[in-house]
Amino acid sequence: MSARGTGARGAALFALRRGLHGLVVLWAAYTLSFLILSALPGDPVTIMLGAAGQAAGTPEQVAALRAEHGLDRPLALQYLVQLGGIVRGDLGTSYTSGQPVASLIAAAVPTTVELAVWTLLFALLGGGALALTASASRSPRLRGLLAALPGLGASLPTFFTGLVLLQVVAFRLRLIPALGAHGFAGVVLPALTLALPIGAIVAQVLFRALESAWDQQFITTYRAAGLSRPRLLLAHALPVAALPLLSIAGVLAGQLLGGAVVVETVFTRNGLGRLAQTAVANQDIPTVQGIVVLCAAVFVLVNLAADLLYPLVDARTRPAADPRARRTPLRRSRGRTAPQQPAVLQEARP
Amino acid sequence: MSTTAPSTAGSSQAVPSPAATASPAPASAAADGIPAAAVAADAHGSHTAPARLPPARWLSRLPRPSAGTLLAATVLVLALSWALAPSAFAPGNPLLGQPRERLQAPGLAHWFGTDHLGRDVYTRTVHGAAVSLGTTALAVLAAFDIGSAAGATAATAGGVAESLIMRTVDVAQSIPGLLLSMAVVTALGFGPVAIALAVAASSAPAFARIAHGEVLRWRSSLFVEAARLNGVGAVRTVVRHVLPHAAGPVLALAAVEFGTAILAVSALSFLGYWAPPPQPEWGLLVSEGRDYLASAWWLTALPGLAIAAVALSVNHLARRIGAQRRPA
Amino acid sequence: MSRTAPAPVLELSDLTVAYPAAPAPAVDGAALTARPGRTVALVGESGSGKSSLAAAAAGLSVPGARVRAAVHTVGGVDMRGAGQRAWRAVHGSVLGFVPQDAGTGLNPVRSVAGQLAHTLRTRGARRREAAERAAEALAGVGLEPRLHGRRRPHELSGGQRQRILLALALAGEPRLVIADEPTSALDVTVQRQVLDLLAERTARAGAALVLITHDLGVAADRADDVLVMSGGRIVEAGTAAQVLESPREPYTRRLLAAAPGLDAPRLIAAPRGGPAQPQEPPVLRAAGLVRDFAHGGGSVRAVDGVSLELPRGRTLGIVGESGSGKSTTARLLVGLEPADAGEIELLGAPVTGRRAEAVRLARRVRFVHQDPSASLDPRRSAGDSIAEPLAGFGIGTRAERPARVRALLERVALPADAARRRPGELSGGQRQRVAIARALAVDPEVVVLDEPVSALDVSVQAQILELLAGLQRELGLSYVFISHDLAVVRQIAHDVLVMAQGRVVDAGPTEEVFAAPTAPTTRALLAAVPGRAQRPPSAGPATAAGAAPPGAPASGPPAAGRSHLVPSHPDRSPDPSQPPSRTAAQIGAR
Repeated sequence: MSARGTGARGAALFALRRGLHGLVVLWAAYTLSFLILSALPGDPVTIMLGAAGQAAGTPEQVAALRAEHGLDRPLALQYLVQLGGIVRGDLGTSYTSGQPVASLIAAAVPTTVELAVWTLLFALLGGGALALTASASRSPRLRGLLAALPGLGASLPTFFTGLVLLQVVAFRLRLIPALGAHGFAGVVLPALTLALPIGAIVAQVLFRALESAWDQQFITTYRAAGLSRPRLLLAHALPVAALPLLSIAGVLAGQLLGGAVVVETVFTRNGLGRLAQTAVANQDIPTVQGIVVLCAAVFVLVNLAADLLYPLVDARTRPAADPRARRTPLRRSRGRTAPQQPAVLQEARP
Repeated sequence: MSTTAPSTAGSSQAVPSPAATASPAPASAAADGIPAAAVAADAHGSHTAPARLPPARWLSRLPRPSAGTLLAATVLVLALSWALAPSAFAPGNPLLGQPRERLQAPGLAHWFGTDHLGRDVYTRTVHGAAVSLGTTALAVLAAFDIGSAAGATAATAGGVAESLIMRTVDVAQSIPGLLLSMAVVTALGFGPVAIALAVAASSAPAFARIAHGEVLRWRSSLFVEAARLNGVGAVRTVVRHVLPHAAGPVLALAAVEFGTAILAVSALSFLGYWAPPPQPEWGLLVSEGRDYLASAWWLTALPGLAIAAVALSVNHLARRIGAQRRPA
Repeated sequence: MSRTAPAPVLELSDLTVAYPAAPAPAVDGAALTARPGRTVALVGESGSGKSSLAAAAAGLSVPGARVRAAVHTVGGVDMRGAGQRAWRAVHGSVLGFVPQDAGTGLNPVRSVAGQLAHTLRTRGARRREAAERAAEALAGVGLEPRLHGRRRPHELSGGQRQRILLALALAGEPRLVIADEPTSALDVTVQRQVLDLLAERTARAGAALVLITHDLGVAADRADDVLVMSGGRIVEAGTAAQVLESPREPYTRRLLAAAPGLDAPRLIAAPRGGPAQPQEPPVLRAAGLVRDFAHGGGSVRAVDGVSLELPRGRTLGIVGESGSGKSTTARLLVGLEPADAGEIELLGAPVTGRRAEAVRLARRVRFVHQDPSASLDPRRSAGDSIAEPLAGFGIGTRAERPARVRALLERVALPADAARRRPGELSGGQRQRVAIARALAVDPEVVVLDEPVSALDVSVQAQILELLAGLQRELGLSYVFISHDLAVVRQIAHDVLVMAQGRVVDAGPTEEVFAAPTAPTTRALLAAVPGRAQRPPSAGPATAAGAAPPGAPASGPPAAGRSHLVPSHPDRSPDPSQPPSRTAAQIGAR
């Protein structure tokens, strides 16, 4: 019913709406972090003086610092000035190093991106392989064992697995130098460490999705049509099961960034996570805030990408110009919408 | 596939719960933690909750605990005993070292070895249980209270209040949990209470989301509609028909979040935000051992193992609770 | 079977299916034979094991199920203990399986033509050939390949989806088709089209058809042979004529007696002295009811100018297909939905939108939901649920309530100890009794029943209908009875409204409307009611007996034959020798 043209326009409108929504989330994330960091008790000037090694500054010093960082202005004004800065790409100046936060972050990003790329590769390959193997195996015992592994991976503290890997691979086996390695040798241990919890999530979500796909009736339909188990898995179960994975892309990105803090600290890599760790240790509010906003931006972008990809993969979420087809978004479905005939109406009969 | 009910039962196949067949919500909807989402999705679906029975019959209905469950329960009981009566398990002083016995490998005299000041690592681990578990419990309790109150309020109030609360939850979940905690630590300063509140801040949104979803879900159930037709007032309906149903999944989430919170608390203290240092917290113990990684593996490995064992046990039991709530 | 019968394509004997967790086997010693060109109907209520039998026969049992048989051949090949590989050789080519489409029978993320073509390719077809054959297969089930083929399952209607499942099962030109409740989720008119298609295609291919159904009418219309299943056993087997017209087994008789046909005895007394006393105003009157729903960007008029009158002590049936607005009308009547226009009058006084009025309406006009397992709080005992309106409307003291609950339980023929049970511990029929007791707790004038029996098995359905009729006689209640099932409505309703697309298209006394339908919708609905079709005379031995004059009461105990399933004289009066004899009192009967 919906002509091609309206479909394309619908998609563009959808993308625009999601993009605007992302901007609003980003602004709100900044506001939230501002509220947490600036409105909660704790005086940044005292912190700065403490960081400089002075137990208590003279009143003149305090006043000078306040003026320098604009902290003598009312909170609302500080908020607006900072927001204006962010829009122009200015994230403020680090309290401790005196450098612009934006350049601190820019210097740290490549290291973290390298870690993230390898981690995702390991996690998707490992987690995907685990889920598929578990789902394909016919022995209940093997399935149970494989299905329990992700839970194990997600329960191990990242710093613990990182240190154990470092201890065994670098110090015991001396396969890789503990510190200062470059290229793949330098990133493989941290990436493996971080891939463990991320891969566990991938495996868990994919396995659950595969299992629920297996339980759906269309599998019986195609079993009866004579398809083999591997074909059923790859041609019918996997396409359905891949969707939940796409929907947690944003969560995975967040987990990656959070995990990077610990992993980069353990392996002393000068990435974003390490920057965040030291910034918090020094109570360097502008840097912390800059990183938080950046993380929110990554989350928003990844989710935006997933939202835009989703309708391509799953037609059920396609925003249609045809109002009759528009029933998928289950959220915000309160209010006056037509009650669907309950599914149990006739299906509950034998 | 093994979970398919016999097709004679019919209902389990013929009437899939809407959540199972509906397309997965768009990406941003799945922003809460994975275990949480999984539990929430699975915890309900059947309207026929098991009836309340006398304790003996209720116990007999539970499946025979597996070896894994027994082991997990044992680990938790041990950890709790350490927390409640540390001196019964390790009579020594966790803060006092014997310089002559520094950096000794694990042995009969020192089960977990000794650190660079000659302090017994086992004693420090046992005495660390109270603060580690206490901080975690505080974090989960705070997150549970704040989160579920906010979520339930949003669902009940509706309108602007609901939008405001739930959009805040969305936004809080757009910041990685650990970074949100770190931001709170930056603002509050270092220490156990700050860490507990920081971890609470990162897990409260998940509680809010579940509580909101549950209350909405049960509020739209037919028996609530029937209660309205029976002349029962709005508040009474919520108390009688909504909260008892909504409580289950939220409590199941609390179990899951406890496992997550143990890891978060120890990670924050590992990163150096625990004060004051001599107090033996588990993450801190691991962190202190880092300098001796090449020579004294036990300083990091054994306290780390304690964290892993407790987290693993909690997660295992939480999953069992989740599975228990799922229709068979 | 006097003629030389062709070799069976499916032969089963002493089939046993057991599941690890279940104490008793789901199928216990069943036998079934299907021959080319013939249709076998396997009839049973839920839990009878008919679906387990079908799955085992098709090699589609869930893993873990233990299947054993003395004989199990498909197309002449011994399938006892066959592995996945052996079954794959049979699936699709020899055996086609049509599952019940509960909306999940097709892969939700692939286009339907793509799914068909992919399946054909796995059988060795090349890409282009597969696409062409998929298009042919779609055309063969009455779909437009270019239009419907590129759609995903959710973009198709239930009937279209079921057609695609047929196309899939028939694509390999199987000699045996097993269809498990292929139309149970469909509206009655669509059901008829799909069954016609299935019968036509299997007949043309000369294939054997095994049709699993809970609907005796469907079996009577379509089957040459009928097997009746109960508790995992085949309790009766024979030609359709033998089984449905002169059943030997008590179970079959009960099933037949409970199955509402359009000629089944009505449960209501004929109106005394002509139409209701004109001087008395109707208990409930509605005029010009309108209800719009926001849908997508615009709005949809779910109810469009519905007017009705309900005299005291009578039942008004509202029938229609899903989406016709009948349920929304019911919800407007009890104030669950606000009307966008129109007025409701209760006992001669108009009901306005004010809160006090809403309470008055809610108390006087009670509502019974379709599915009692959803409308009763699973955590509350039955007694609690029944007492809820007493507390809600502040009737009586707390101390008086247990006695009142006991009286109500007795009224709906439940034992007093049911008060302490939770819905999960009660059967479906018992749960609906509790819901009815709850509706009666505050002595209402009118009860609006929204599909009150459609979630129940046919024998339980009959018991609930009798209970409702009895309560009406005793208490002088008035009912608004919503149903998609014309046979049920005919049994219980004095007057009937037929709805389509939000409007009333036909109305009047039930007998008159059913005998002389004026609206096309009514005619289509009536024509599609299963149990009325006449098979072509050459269909098999069953017709020999089927041609016997209907209506002639079978000898022996209360006639429970198939008589009401075959068209007969519309004016045949209810058989007085057939009182509602089944007492509804046995708790735990199911």
